Formats: sequence, structure tokens, C-alpha cells
Amino acid sequence: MNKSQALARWRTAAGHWAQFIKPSLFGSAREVTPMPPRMKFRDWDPGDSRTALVLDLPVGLGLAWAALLSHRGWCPVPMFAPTVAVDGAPECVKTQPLVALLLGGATLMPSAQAGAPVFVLDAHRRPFRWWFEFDNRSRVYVDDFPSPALFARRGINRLVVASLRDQLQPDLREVLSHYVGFELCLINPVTRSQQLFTSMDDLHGWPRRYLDYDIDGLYNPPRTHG
Amino acid sequence: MSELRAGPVLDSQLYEALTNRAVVECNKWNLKAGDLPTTCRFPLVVSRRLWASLTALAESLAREALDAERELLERPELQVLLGLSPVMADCLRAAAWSDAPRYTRFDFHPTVDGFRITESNCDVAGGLLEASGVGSIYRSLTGATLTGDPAGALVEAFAARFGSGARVGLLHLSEYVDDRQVVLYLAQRFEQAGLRPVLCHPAQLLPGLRVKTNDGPRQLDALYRFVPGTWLEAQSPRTAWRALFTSERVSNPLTGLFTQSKRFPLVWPQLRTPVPTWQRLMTATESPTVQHTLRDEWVLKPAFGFEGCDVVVSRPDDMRWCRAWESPTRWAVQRRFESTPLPTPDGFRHVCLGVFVVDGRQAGGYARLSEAPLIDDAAQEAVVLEEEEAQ
Repeated sequence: MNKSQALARWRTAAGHWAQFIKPSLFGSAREVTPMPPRMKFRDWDPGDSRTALVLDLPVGLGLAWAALLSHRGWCPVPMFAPTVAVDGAPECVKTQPLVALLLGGATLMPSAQAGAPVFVLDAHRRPFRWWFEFDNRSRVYVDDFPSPALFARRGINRLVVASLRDQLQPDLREVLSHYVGFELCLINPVTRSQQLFTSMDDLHGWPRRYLDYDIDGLYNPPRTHG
Repeated sequence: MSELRAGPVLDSQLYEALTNRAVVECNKWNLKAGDLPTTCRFPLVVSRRLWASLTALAESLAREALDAERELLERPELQVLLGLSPVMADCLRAAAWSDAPRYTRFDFHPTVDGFRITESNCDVAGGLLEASGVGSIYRSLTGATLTGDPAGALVEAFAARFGSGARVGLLHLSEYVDDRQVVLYLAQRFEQAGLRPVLCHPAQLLPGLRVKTNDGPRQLDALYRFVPGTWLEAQSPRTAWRALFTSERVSNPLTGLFTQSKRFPLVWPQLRTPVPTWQRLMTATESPTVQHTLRDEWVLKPAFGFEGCDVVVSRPDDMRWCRAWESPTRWAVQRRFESTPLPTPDGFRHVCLGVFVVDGRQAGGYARLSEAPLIDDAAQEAVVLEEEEAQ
């Protein structure tokens, strides 16, 4: 399976969430031998059709779990967007193994689904915006996810983040703060510990929110061209 | 039938092929705009007559902007009205005239009073990847006639100016995939034309138009800049970004900031250069005051903003008005116009039809469509086709 075929499989499996796929690795990386994700994990039911799931896990584990959930009607949406280095620049996130897993994961995908989304992130992301050196780790922004209105139109009012950490990563914490009125939950799929966020203060904890902001005072991707 | 209309909807197979090929073949990675797919399922079709009219206007705007830029370079007393930061103003005072390749995009908004513009994109303009890359895939799938190939025209301009085989740095913020995708596409086009592209981040800049690489410093023959001039001052002072202002090998030349400013119309009364096309098409622009806040007909914009960011429409309680009163020279207000929405297969859409101009000549179109009368980063994109007779 090549990159083009794999992308088509992922887009089909993502159903009506397909536009939220981040496809940069399908475009910029070299072709590699597919490697299906075969991580072992304890099965766990993340919720019903009113739940959107965010897998903030190591890539192999996230993809393996997404593949399993896709056969239960969930729509997997891979959102890996590290920059592929050129001219031999060192990569914090090695992109070739990631592409191999994406291509391998595609072979496990079922045909079109119409369920709730499973957004699959790479937990190895950039905590801050560094201006002065090449860092190929990505971040997520609120613009990357469906708006609260779209979730609501599709009957989703609960967001569950699965992570091996005890707390949300800063970029994801900022994203979730935009989903006012949603039930927000952080779950560790290994220990099964759960945190429920009932208010924005729960989510951030003062002054954490302000410390998380970038040096330019923004927490959004820049608008760099007209 | 209108001279500007939505074309036929692609069937789902063709649309998937368009999307997937755009990702894989030309690095089109931003697949979503707001909650919708970025690329519309239908093209925007422009009659040949209308296209000829708009491109003539765009070429006039580019010519007038170039003349105004040349005059502004010699008029520091007018530069201070444009909303430049002190650092930018200082850098531009040292700048010299450059004949490096220039490209820009003028966005035409259909209104009840004809077409209107609200700005130029003389500093950095997006849409090359979409107009040329996505457009060429659309053409290969449907056989339709595009309005042009702006990326191809830009590459030709570099080859003509700097010679075949020239090493061209493609300056961008590598950490942002939306920017990375553009320069990766352009790198393909530069290579196909026999030029040697070098992807680089501002942190790699060294004096003498060189860049740091893993193999040591590398000399560039020219630099294509996909970083707005106003963003350069956020870079480390240890990098050589200031030298870009005085280089004749940087495209676009940074003096394009003069006409990129939303406050450009505020210097017209004192300019010797005539700008009749601008005066005819540009919506009324003023410096913000408290009175503007209270009147619904004015839209607040930063002097140097991008993609609709920090634009305030009909919200007098927005705190950005206070910022504008405190520093009015960093902002502008523009009179609202009544955009005429276009019927499309997805419902009525407000249209912004961009016309690229490369070294003074039109080079193709790029359209964005929005449900609301504001074209921002949530607007969808459409391939622009030219049609001889509207059917």
C-alpha cells in the first residue's frame, strides 16, 4: 500500500470527519514499508455515540486502539503533523516510522463509518512555540478540531481524552477550554483513572493558563499571509 | 446568466481524487476550513470578458502600487502614517529600491456597487499552491481551462532575473504546516525549472544572503520570502534578517510593506503618484476614532493583519477598539460594503476572487468563498475557471 492508497483508506474510514485528518505525512514523507500497529493494550469502552474521543498517546498505541474502535463504528481521524526535515536536519519526532505506522494502520481500516470521531494525536508534541531553532514536533490548536456547533449538530456533547499522563498537555488543555458546556474527561487507559472537568478553572488552574501562552501572547496558529 | 457563477459539482469519486492527489502530489495539507472541507466541490467560473476586465484592473493596481512604493521609499514623513512598528520603520528607512521579482494578489469582492478591494497582498500572498497545484490537478481530472499558473509565472520570473541554476532560498516558518506546504510545492516548481531551492527558516539566515545548513553556510543567489515582513522583527537579533531589507535579491522586496498596509489610502492625499484605480476600487479608509466605534458602517482592521485576524465587525464593545484608540496609527477603519452573495450548490456564498500579478502581468486566479460576508481563515477555496461565454 502506497501513501496515496493509504490516505484514501483513512479518509474513507473517517467518514464525514475526513476533512479533520492532518495529511502532511502522506505528502512530504518518502514511501516506506507499511508497519501495522500491533501494540497490546487492555480493551476499554470509551463511551457512546455522544462521545468524541481524543487519543493523546504514543503513536503505535493510539493507532492500534483507533483500528480496534473503527471496527465498532467509530471514525478514526489521524492528526499527526510533525514537519519532515530536509537536508538531513535532525528530527525530534522521527517521521519515517510514523509514516510506516500510518500506512500499516490503513490496512486495518474498515470501509466507511458514520459514527463518532476518534482523533488520534501523537503525544510527543511541542509544549511551547520555539522561534529560534528547528523543532519538528507539532502542536494542536482549537482550529484543528470540529467546532462546538458541529459537534452539537451531530449529537456529541462529551469529549474524552485518553492519555498516559495525569494531566492534559497545554495545547490540548487550551483546545478543550473552547468546548463550554461539554462534559470533558481525561482518562488513563492503563490505570483507568479518570478526571472530570466541570469548569474551566478545573481545566486550567490559575495561573496555569497564562503560563501556557506563547511569548507573543497568542495561543493560536499564526496568520502568516494574506 | 451571471458572468461569475458556480460551476458543476464534482462527483464524489472525482472530488476524492482531487483531494488525495492534492495532498500527495503538491502538498496541499489544510483540508478543512472551519468545519467544512477546504476545497469546494465546485469551481468558480468567470466569463472571459469579466476575467479580462478584472485582470486589467489588477495590473493597473500593481503598476500604481509599484510607483507609490517607489515614492514612499523617498518619503519618510509619509512612512510614519502607515502603521509600521519602530523597528520596521527603521529597517525600511535603510532599504533601497529593488528590481527582484514581485508577485501580489488583489482580491475582488462583488458588491451591489460593482467590485471592491480592501487591500493588496504586496508583501506575502497565499494561494499559489491552490491556484497552480490544485488547479492543475482539477484540469487533469476534468479538462477545464484554468485562468493561469501563478506559481509557474513566479518561477519563470526568478529564472529570468537570477538565471537558470540559481540557488533560491525559500524562507518560511518551518514549524507551521500551512506554510511548509506552500514552499514544498514551490520547491518542486523551482526544481522543474532548473533552479535549486533551499528550504530555510529565518533562524538560519546569515549575513551576505547565506543560510546555515548541516553542511555549513550556503550562499544563496536569491530568496523567496513566505514570511511576512512584519514578522521578521520577532526573530532572534542574532540572525541576519535585517539584511533582507537592503538586499536586491529578496522577493518580494520588503518595501512592499508600504502598500501592504491597510493605511496605505491615508497617504494618498500627499502622494504625487496618481493611484486612480485604487481610488476607484478601494473601500473608504480612515484612521480609527471613537466616532467610528459608534457607527455600524465601519470595520476595524490592524494595519498589518492577515486572513481576517483581529478584524472587528459590528462589535462596539470589542476591546480591540480600545487598543485602536490608544494606538490609532497601528489600525485602520474601512467602510463596510454590501457584498453580493453568489448562489452555489452549497447555498449562497460571499466570494472573494483573487487575481495574481507577477512582475506586472496577471498570472491566474484564486477564489475563496464564505457563508458570512467576511473572508477569513474559515473561508473555503475554489478553483477558478475561465469561460468564453456564460451559458
